[in-house]
Amino acid sequence: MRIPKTLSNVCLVVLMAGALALAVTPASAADWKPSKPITILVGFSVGGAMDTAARLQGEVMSKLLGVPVVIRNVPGAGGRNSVSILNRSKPDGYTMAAINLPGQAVNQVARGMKPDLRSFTWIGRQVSNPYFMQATTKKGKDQWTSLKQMKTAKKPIKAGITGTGGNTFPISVITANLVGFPVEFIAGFKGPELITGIIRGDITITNLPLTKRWTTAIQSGDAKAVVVYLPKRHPKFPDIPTGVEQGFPALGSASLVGQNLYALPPKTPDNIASVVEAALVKVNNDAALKERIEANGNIVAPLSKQNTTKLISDMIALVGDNTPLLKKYIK
Amino acid sequence: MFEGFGGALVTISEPHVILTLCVGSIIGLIFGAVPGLGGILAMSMLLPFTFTWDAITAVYLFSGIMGASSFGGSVSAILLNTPGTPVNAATCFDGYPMAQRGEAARALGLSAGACLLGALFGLVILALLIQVMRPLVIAFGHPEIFWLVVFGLVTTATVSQGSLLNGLIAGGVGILLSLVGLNEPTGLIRYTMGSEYLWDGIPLIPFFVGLFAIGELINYSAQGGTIARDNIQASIRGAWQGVMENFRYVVCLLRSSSIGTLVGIIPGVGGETANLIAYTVAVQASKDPGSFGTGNPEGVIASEAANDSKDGGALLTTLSFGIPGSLAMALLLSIFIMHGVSPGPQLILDKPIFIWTLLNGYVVSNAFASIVGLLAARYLAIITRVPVYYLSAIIAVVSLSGTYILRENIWDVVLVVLLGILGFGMRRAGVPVLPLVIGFVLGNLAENSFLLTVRIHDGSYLGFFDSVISWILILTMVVVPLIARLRTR
Repeated sequence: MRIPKTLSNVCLVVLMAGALALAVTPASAADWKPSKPITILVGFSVGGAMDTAARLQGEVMSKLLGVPVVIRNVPGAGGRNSVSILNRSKPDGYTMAAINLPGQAVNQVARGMKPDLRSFTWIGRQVSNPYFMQATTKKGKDQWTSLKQMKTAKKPIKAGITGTGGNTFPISVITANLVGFPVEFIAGFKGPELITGIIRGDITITNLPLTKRWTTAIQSGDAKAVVVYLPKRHPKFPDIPTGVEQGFPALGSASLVGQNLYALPPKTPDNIASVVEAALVKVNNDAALKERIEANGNIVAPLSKQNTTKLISDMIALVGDNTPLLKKYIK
Repeated sequence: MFEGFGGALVTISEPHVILTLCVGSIIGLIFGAVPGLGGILAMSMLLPFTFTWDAITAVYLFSGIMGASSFGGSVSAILLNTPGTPVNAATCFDGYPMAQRGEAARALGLSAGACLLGALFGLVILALLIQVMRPLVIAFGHPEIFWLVVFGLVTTATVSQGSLLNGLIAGGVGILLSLVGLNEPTGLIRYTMGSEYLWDGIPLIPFFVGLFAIGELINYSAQGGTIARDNIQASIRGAWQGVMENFRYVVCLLRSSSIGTLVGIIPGVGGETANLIAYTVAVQASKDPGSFGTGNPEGVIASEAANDSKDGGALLTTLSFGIPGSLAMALLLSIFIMHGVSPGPQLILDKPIFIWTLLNGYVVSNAFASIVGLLAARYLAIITRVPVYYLSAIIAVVSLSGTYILRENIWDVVLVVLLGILGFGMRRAGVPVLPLVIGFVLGNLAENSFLLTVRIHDGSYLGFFDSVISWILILTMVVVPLIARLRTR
């Protein structure tokens, strides 16, 4: 049987297109193997919690993937730089970023900045850094010991924050709103100044990450820990009560925990994301590494790709619900 | 507290520790001397390697880098009018004119001596006060910081060589530049032209590299010749003379070291402030303020003594409160925490050996850097006789790549070039650079501490006057120039 010429041409085109598609289609998950160094963007300076965790995890990840993992610090704008750079990066698996939430959700929702965080390819959690509230014990200043007592405050409670760029701002504003105490936020403190501010009684409360570094005023008796924003007490700081225990179940939400999450650029192919996710799961299950990272007070709690993506959506929604409040402090 | 001293001395005599300290000091010297790099970059690059080390060795490496980088920064400030790190900015103003007079070796000796003596001063204060320093840290709140910074700002007029009007304009421009970015107390984003790059303001390192290194580079290229206009005294004797001159200006040395230690103790003020305040106080207190900026040895001593003594003050706050006074201290803290050592009040009681390890390492690395500097001074001084065309090319490559490496942001390089043009224009127009630097470094700090004081005191301005320290600072601001004026008559 003779095949019409037009048909043979069509077949040829289809075959060529098929060959071309095969050539450009990414290889299967098992086939993707990185062949050059992978960069992890960290939006904060060297030595911080996010940086230290990234460096420790990067070392193990490097052994698992067989290529060097380089940490690139791009500090500034409350971690925003890593978001912008990641958005411009090629979705080839060689650039990933540790991104701080809910701080970056504020930039998207309340400041209207792009990109939409939901467009990134989220692969899992680096660490959780729960926040806690500490109150001054200086004589002559208002002494706050529980959330219920704070609700009875007659005048606004002076709360110190660093600014409107990082995680402290949304966590402070949203938790105050959920508890319902009158508050006046005083922004502009540098991190360490929040501790001296509490000791001096310039501010009466402040929210900070629950790590050893930020609990020194409690050790010295200059401050009292009022609440930790976790569903259960922190194993390393068991004396600090949770908001749930004090009758505020909403304060146990995972969206109120500072989260450092790993993302790849938007539209990263699934096979690449799966390889990186698999490496991250192994990294997070490394017991010795977990112990080192958690020595600082952070929590290593692996989170799947799907759950990470859901957490992002939840955080954006929570920040969205509180946007009018947050906008009071963003000009 | 003193019981850990013996243990720390034993560790420092071990060969691998000596090697670590020497390596740390050399790295600190090199990274300090290259504009744009600095000790922080060296520490952050080496941080991952130290995770698996024992804590004592890691602390020695870091104290070696910290101790030596400041002197390294003064080498390029004196020889090339380009501060290796922002904390050496004030060293340029008198160190470089000395180099132009052919006295580079003497200026390097002055700096080596001031670095070592300033560091020793800061550490002695640390050792003496560590258990009783709490009231001092708490005494400095935002009103006191405001007055301290205002003290630095009002000296803009005094340090304006030539036209007072030019100096005031430069100071004003510096303050305006410091206002760029997100103003945290008010939540306003100012003068960023919609750019996220400027959200955190004009970054410090590109500012200094541009204004000094590139500005000077264009100047060299326009002028030609060599840096030293006179014959150079490139001898070890010249350098030694510089070291010994520190004792001749002992009042300036002690005063600047005290200022440096105090600024170091106050969290949030920043290392780049110490050298500028010490320098401006030296000008105010001098019988001959007009000689500053023309190669007055007191200018070099004031800047470098304050630089190195500030680390003692910052260590005091870092170790006893767990509050890092600077990025270098934050790095040190993370090393401590990674090795299970928690900074805070208990550290002094539980693990004094760590404190002594740090102090020993810091003293030895400072001494090492100063000796190396002293021995190398006569060779380094020869740089001032190299034709500037060659130097320009080297400075351009080193400073621009150094700036880029730091954050891998091309806009930093663009900013360096723009500020270089500004620096060159100012030099050509006879507008002094120092007021611009003072305005830039202190302007934002003054505004922040002003706004925070008012907010903390419920909108009242009385908060500025309700502490003894505020009054001491106000009175000093008035009295010091008066005494200086009376002495000059």
